[in-house]
Formats: sequence, structure tokens, C-alpha cells
Amino acid sequence: MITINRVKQNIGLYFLVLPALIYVIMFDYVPLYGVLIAFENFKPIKGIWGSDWVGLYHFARFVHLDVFWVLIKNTLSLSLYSLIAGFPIPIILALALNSVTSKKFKKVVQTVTYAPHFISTVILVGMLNVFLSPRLGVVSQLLNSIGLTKGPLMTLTNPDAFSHLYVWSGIWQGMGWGSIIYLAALSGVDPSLHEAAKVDGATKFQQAWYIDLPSIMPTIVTLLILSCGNILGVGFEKAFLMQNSLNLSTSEVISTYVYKSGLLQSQFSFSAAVGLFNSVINLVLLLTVNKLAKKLGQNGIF
Amino acid sequence: MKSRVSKFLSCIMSIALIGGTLIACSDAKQNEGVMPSSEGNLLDGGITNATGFPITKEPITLTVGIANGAHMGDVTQYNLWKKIEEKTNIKINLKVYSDAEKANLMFSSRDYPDIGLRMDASDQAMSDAIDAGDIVGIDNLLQYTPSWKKFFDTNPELKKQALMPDGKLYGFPYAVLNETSYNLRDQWFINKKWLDELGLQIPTTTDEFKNVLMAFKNNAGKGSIPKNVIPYYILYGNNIGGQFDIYGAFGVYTPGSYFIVEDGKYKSQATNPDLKEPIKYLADLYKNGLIVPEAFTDDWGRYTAAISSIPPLVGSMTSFGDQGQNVSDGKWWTPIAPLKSPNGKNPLIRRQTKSIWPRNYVIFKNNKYPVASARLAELLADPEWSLTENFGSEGVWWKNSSDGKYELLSPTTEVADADKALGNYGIALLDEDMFNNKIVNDNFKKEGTREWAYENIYKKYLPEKNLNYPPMPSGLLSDEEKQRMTDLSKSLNDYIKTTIANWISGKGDIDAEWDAYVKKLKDLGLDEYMQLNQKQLDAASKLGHE
Repeated sequence: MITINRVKQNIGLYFLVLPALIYVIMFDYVPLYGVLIAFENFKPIKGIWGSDWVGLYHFARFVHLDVFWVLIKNTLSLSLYSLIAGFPIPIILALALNSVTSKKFKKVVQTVTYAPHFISTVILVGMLNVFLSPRLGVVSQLLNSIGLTKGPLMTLTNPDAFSHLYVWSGIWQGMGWGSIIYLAALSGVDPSLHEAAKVDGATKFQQAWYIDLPSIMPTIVTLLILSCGNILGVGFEKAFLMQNSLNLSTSEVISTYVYKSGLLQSQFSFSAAVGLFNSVINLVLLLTVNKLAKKLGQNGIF
Repeated sequence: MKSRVSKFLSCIMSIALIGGTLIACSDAKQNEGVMPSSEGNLLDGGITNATGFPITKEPITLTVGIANGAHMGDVTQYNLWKKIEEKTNIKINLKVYSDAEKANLMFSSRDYPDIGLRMDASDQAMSDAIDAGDIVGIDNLLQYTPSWKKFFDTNPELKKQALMPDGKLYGFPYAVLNETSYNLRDQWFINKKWLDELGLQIPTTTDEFKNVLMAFKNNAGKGSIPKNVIPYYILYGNNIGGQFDIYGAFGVYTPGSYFIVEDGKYKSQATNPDLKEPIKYLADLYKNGLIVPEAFTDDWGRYTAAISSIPPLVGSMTSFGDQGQNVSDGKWWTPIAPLKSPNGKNPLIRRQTKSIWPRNYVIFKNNKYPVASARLAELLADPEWSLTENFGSEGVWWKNSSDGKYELLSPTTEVADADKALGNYGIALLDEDMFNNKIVNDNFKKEGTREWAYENIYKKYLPEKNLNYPPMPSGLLSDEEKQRMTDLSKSLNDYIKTTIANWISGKGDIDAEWDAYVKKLKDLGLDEYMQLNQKQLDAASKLGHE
């Protein structure tokens, strides 16, 4: 009875949340039954209910692939590298920007660093290919003219260089955008703390270290947990576009493999199975990190 | 990946939702219209004349699905549709599928047109539709289409390509059998202008070829040779413009993959030790800077840009088309014969497979006039109609010459959409007899054209037997076998491609690593892969013999 009364009292709020609720149910929950195709030999003509049930066949098939461990290794190392190198940089950028006194300088730096975010992946990879082109690229010409290298620059075809190119171009593109959320969190820090610190004679660095960083720690932890939940989900487009026959040994990740041998060959069940496999592992990782964060005295996401 | 897959999934789900509800509505009365009705010689429920024109006694409308080719302009404006309506009483209502996804969606939702020309749906979609009985088998309709019946009867090898796993035919083909087109993959070009400037002869052996390329490289920046010259351009691993013709020069035939079919046996060239010699030759060219590292990173777009650049950047390359026609003064490129190698074996050039597009005109079961549709296919097989379908309007692209032959024309001005050709987006029947005896093509006399080069240079370098993998319907293997084959094919071909690329680019020693490479291929399941392919091949060769 009490609940009904409370709903009646706040009926306006429930109306406000209704469209979002319908959206989530319609587009996120209703289609969920489609994961069934991961367990069948799906034929569009027979439909989801009519296709032959094969159980875990597609999962076993994926795990028994010769390249399975190579795919896992490439995918994991790429995303761990991205995380370790890429996660702290927006934080450092945000802390640094926050400590800058000149408003104008701060705005210029902010605009310059997040402009690359608006470049599409295709263009970004195109730029990489043009700049690093073995013989005629700017970098190759420059290095040759000052005598640092001799002959063509083989970065694009070198399997060992792939992960560095992938990660650092990603950092260049994403750090400005990634720092926005930290800047927002920093604007909520109580100014009186800074004033008190100044009176005590703290330097800029000490202020950032002892005041700003602890204040945005909850935001950092939340974002870290969320990124851990995406650890097997290495972006498809970029890896696919950067592949060539010489760097395939490190550039083939789960998503590009599934695209080439699953979707292009109309093997929807196989693709769905691998997608589901990814999601389950990501979920497990997310829960683990969440628990860990709580153990360490931070707020988890739930 | 996450967003791709989830997009795909949600797409599939919506398809399946619609598809699932429709399955219940289908029934199996597909042969109803084929049977002669009680009204004498009128078919399709009393509408269609068995012979003579117009095909139907009163006007009917048929919906015709077709894929959209970028080069085709507005296909609805073609004169062909008007001509059909005037002659047959059948009004064509075109439904254009702008990309493969739309066609696949149409198949999945079973929202079929009456007739499907080329729609670019996946093989799987087509064979699923046939399994479900959604496409009318044409064996019963061949009595109304004498030209197609004769075509299938006199070309058993091509008929085999058209048969589905149940041994039946399900569509009328695009059968344009032009030997100069199908029997040669790439022509091999050399930059004649640069040769002349340097006072060099056209190379005939692999050693001479290397010397010529060295000369191109050493004279970069002189005359018309640009500073950033690419002496020999290959698009590594690609069927078109790839390195496979170098293998051929050393007598190792590879059709664009490393697997061939000899006398019905599936064979691997990837483990053929004869491959070592051409790979070493390529590695030597690479080491000397005659093949550039871009060979491994360029994509199709940059290949076409590199080979068609004006003025040329490239000293030698392979390509299907006549580059000579694309460069203003026509004197840059000249086709050369495959090079002789030191091992003394006969050099080989690659051919394509003689093939038809077997289901470019299918009749769906919701079509109320299957006989009229078949008779329309028969009309489209007529030689003059076929010329119009394949080349374009009469008077613009071809004309009747006085001796009962047909002369091909090359219009010099922009051609209106109305006069354009369907080409392999529709059907046509132009067999070798047409091309050899009835169609007059001036290009055979013009030095430097593909037709000329085929007759005068390449014909004698083709391998005696056809070693290419023949086209075959999907569905000859079980789903599990097919999936296993896909997985094996991916891992084997990736390994072959990467390893050979390493050898060419000097990152490994082929002599030292060859045995390990062969062993690794075996470990990856080469034998199983070959067995599966052999099984599919055997199943295909049995088709039509029951």
C-alpha cells in the first residue's frame, strides 16, 4: 500500500523515466533471446526458433582453433597495453590543466588535445599509412635526410611495432577527450581546501597530489572498472585497417578474426558465439575488479 | 567489435522475427502455374501463350529484383525494359537492391520479387532459399526455352556449375563465353617508353627482367622516369596484380591461391619445393629495391592508383585491362610474354575459369506467371537481344554488318543511361561460336589491346590442362564440414601468406626454414583441408550423373 501511494505521489517522475525504460526494454532486453543463435546452426530462413540446436559446438570450435591462443594473446596484450599506457595519461593531463593559472592557455591546450578525437578511425589509419609510408612518407624522408636511418622505414610491416603504433596513436587521439570527465570532477573540488593548502605553503604539485588526486579517486576507480569490463573488446576497425600480410602475427585480434571468418562467410552462429564468449569474460573481469576495488576501500560501481 | 557484433545481432534478430512469422504461411503449391490449364494452349492460368508473341494475351506486371552496380547509372532508365514491354506485354517493375545487405535482408524476410536477376545476396542465402522451396526449379520450364535447353545440353561442364546439390537447375545463367576474357587472368606489362629512352630491349628472361628493372631504378629522375620510380609493382598476395605470375615464369602454376585441381585431384602448390626458386628470385628483386615495401601494405585502391598513374610511376606490373588504352599517347605500356627462367621449364601464364553466372535469372515461387517468365528468359537469350543486354543499345555499342555479322562499336561520346548494358547483372547467351564467328571486334587487329595480346602472345603460354578450381554450388558438404573448411582455410592461407611475405622481404631464409614451414602446415591441418576439398570436388563431379 505504501509503495503504491509513493508511486502516486511521484507519478510525474515515473512518467519522465518511462521513455528510457521502454527504450531499454525494447532494444536491450527483448532482443536478448537472439543469443540463442550462438548455440545453434542458425539459418535465417528457419528462424531463431527453427534452426538446429548444436549446444556448445561453436564455442568448442573457437577454443580449438589453432590460432585461438594467438588471438587471445594479441587481444589481451593490446588491451592491457592500452590500459596501462593510456589510462593514467588523461588523468595527468587533467591535473596539469587544472593547475594552470592562465585561462587562455588552458583553453588552447584543451581544444588542441581533444580535436583529434573527432577524426574518424579510417582517416587516422590513413594518416598513419601516409606518414609512415616506407619510402615516401614524411617520417621516412626526414629520418633519412638527417641520417638516422638508411633506406625504407619498415615500421608498418614490422609485427613488433604494431602494438606501439596502435596504442600510442590511440592515446594521441583519445587523451584530450578522456580528460574532460576528470576536469569536470576536479571542478567540484572545494576551493577552501586549496586556499588552506596555500596558506600552509603547499606547492602546485603538492596541491595536485594531496588534494586533487584524492578528490577524483572515486571517478578514477569507476572508470578503471568500466575499462576493465571492455578488455577483450579491442576495437575492430583500427586493428583491421592497420593489418597487412607482414604484421598479421600480432595484429590479428579476436574481432578481426571473427569478422573475416565469421561474418564475411555468413557464419552468424559462430560470430555470435565468440561475441558471447567475449562478453562473459569481460563480465567476469568487471566483477572481479569491482570486488577488488571495494576490498581496497573504494566505491565500486555496484 | 562490440558495436559491430551487436549491430549485426540486432539486425539478424529483427530479420528472424519477421522471417519466423512468415515461415508458417508458406505452402508447397509451387508447380501450380506450370501445368497447362483447361483453356487449350494458354498457360499460367489462361494468360500465357505457349508460343509466339506477345507472350501474354493481356498486359501483366512482373517485379524484377536487381543489384545496383556503381557503373550502371540509373538502371530503371534502360531502353531494354521498354523493348520487353512492347514485344511481350510484360511490364517490368524494377526493384533495385543498392547493396548486398539489402538483398540478404530481402532473402531473410522472404519478401521476394517475382524474378531475381543478379542480386548479390550471399551464396548461403540463395541456397537456403532453394532448400526452402522458395525458388522454382527450371527443369520443367526448359520445354518453353529451347535456346537454354540446347545450351545446357551442349555444355555439360557448364551445366554442372549450375546444378544445385539436388541435381536440379534453379536459374537461367549469364553465359557470355569470351575466350579472350576468361582464358587469361592478367597481362604482364612493361613500360616501353622507358625501355626506348634507355635503349633497352623487351626482356624475355628473368635475368634480363632484373637488369631492365635495375636500369629503371638507376636512371630514376632522368627523362620520363620519375625520381620515386617503382621498378616492379606487385600487390602481394592478390589474385589480380599479385606475384603469382612470377611463380608461373618458373613453371609453377598458381591460379591466385596456392591450390590447384589436376585431373580431378586437389593439389597443394604451397608445399611444392619448386616454389623455392621463384620466391628466392622475388627476394632478390626486393633486396635490390626493385620491389618496394609498399607491395605488402598497399590496398586495392592504391594498386589501381599506382598502375594507372599518368605519367606512369611504374616500370612493370600485371593487370587485367589494357593500360595502353588509358594513357593518352598509348605508347607507355606494352604486354610482354611470361619470362623464361634459368630452370628451363616452360613459363606459364594464368587463366581464369571458364564459367557462367548460374543463377542470374531466378523465378520465385510467388511469381504467378512462371511460364511467361521462362519465355521471357528465352527471349533474352536471342543473339541480338543478348548483344543489347551485354554490350548496350544497337546502333551505339554494336550494329549489324552487311554479311550477317555483328560489329562492336566504341562510342566516343558519353553514353546515355538508356543505352547502357546490364552486363553480368542480367542474363545473356553469347557463346564461343558467337565471339569467334559472328562478332567482329577490331581490337584483335590493334596491337596492345587485350584481344591482340591474347592471340599473339599469351595463348601459347597457357597450361595445357585447366588447373583452376572449378566453381561449384554451396551445400555439397555438411554444415560442420563447411565450417571446419572455413577455419582451416583461414589459418592455412594466413600462415602461407605471412611466411612467404617474410621470405620475400628478407626476414627469413627459405632453404633453412622450408621443412619447418611444411611441417607447420601439416600441423595446422593441411591434410584434412585437402581431404575436405577433395570430397567437395568429388561430390560436384557426381552432380548430374545420377
